[in-house]
Amino acid sequence: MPKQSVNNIEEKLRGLRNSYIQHLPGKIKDVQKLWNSLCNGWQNETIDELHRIVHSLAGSAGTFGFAQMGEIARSADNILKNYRDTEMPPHNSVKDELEDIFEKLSSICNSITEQAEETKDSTGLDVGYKPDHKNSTVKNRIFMVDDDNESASELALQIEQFGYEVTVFNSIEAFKKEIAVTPPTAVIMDVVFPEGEFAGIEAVRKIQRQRAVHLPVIYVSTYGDLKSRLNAVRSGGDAYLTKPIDINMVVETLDILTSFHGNDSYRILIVDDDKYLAEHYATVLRNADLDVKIVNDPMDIMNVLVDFNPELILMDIYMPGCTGLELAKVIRQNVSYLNLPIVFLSTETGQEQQYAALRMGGDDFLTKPIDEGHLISSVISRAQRSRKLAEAITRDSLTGLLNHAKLRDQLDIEVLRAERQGTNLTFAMIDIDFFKKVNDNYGHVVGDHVIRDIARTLNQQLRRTDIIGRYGGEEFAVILPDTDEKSAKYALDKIREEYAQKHHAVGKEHFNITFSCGISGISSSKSAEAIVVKADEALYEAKKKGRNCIVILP
Amino acid sequence: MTHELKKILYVEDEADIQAVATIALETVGGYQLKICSSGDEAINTAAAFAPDLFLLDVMMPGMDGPTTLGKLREIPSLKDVPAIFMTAKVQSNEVEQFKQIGALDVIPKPFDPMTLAERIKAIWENNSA
Repeated sequence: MPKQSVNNIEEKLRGLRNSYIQHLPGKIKDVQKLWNSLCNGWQNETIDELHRIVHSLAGSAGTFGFAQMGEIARSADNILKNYRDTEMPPHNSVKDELEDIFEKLSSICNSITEQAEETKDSTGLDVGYKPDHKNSTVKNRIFMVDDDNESASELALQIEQFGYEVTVFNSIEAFKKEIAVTPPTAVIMDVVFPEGEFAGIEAVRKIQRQRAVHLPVIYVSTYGDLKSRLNAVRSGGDAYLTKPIDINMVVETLDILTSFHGNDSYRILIVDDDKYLAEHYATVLRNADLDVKIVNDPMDIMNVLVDFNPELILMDIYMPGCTGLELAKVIRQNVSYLNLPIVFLSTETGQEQQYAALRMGGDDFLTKPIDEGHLISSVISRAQRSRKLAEAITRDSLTGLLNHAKLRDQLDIEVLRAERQGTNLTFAMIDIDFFKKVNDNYGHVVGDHVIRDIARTLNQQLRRTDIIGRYGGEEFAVILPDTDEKSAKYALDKIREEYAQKHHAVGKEHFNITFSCGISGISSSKSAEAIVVKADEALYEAKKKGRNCIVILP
Repeated sequence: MTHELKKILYVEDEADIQAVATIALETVGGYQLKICSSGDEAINTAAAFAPDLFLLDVMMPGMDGPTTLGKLREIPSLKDVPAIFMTAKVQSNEVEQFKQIGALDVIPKPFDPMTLAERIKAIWENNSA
């Protein structure tokens, strides 16, 4: 089995340490209980049990990093073992000593649990900002296969800095064994191995053939000739990079192949007054991994449109209150929904009616009863195009984040939603410190890398429900729904502090990048406009305070 | 030992330590690990697992480590499987006692999860010579 990344192991150990901390008070309580019972009457069974717990504390506390607790438990262990198998209770002075020791254990236990609570607070984890599964606990796993261990390990370390978990294999054999057990998100494969000049490509070809789902593969090779590249494409490779490897190229390719966004299920809204039929369609589509919501009363649709933000509407034509055709027209009156595909469902087979549906702004017409496979494929293909189109219009081309206009629209929507639902909302503006110097000293290409890198960091560290945008040149903005200003500051401070430590390499030179941030929220400003103005002022204040900090104005 | 160390059977009653040991021996060390929570469980399952090495906590409720080892060694297919003890209390005379009942060595607790596997490997190789 290959060595897994040290980061990953340390993360797991931290998790175990936390669960140990949670168990500690229970153990200390048991100790106290047994000791109290011994004080009331000396019994062999009780002392054996007490000794066992204390002994196990002596052994385990240190393993989890609580050496002092382990040492104190050990002193009790040493005393108690002398009193096993005797009917004689210890002398009062020994009892006092033990009493002292157990008190100490209990007070150390308290301070350990208190400290654990505090550190949780300072990271904001338990304050009201819970990172989600997108966060570091589930990293994209990358397998790197290269017989040159030294250069592979170095590249792996660099890639891990970008939030990936990399496992290096020095032989194709070892890689094949592991991939059968735990398939990674993507593979970085050398082409030439001792087995042959295309051995890496051959191995991938075999693996791709056995798999139901395509495995993203990046080839790296010293040779860039057409024959190798063709071989690579035919084997099911997605990218081909030539050595020496440019780390930024590798990471950007990985980002695309494992794409941060775009992996969410498509959101489909079904509008049908027939509850059973609607539920049936929903089940069919949910089985195909789509995110489905049902509206039975067409009059409810406007709120759901805002909240659910569907990527496609599947709508019955004949409904009480208004027809599907009228409803489509109403939806299209709002420019935000001009590109939203609307697919009609009806028993209507007449061509005239179908054309009318299309004229009213429908995109397609499916006739009931519809074959399940047909329903799934026509919904998915339209939703896919809808998302691509929406992304082209609303996303910044350099970072893939929302552009300025879309982010402002989204803020309006989120503020309305928060008001309606009575929830919190925080808005943060982030600006890279001294960005002009980066461009001046290293050129715009490096500047662009920095911008993309911060975008990636925000994407990885924030929650899936947080909305991130590129607000301007070196400026970013984040909407954090359901989060108060203080929790948002905790979360962003953690990202800021970590990011400031990161080294950016240009040739042999290294530099660090920091950013400043201004925060405001719905609790102190009532409109989206006011929130933005206040966050901007707070950002200005953060710059004035010396940069690399976060400010919330009172 | 004449062969490579691959499979370890670990007898340990404490769940927290079991979890750390799993990371230390499986993830860090790359060993195939089976954990038993009591001596009885070990005796019932050890033969099927066919370990290369026993790792035993000394003090456990019910059957303790040395007694467990004695019973394990009564199983014909396991009579030559080497053992290492783990304990929170090691004094040099005790180490000798454990060695006398057939332990290769004794690893003191607390242990460092990042180096436990190396330590076991070193003991194993030391005894291979």
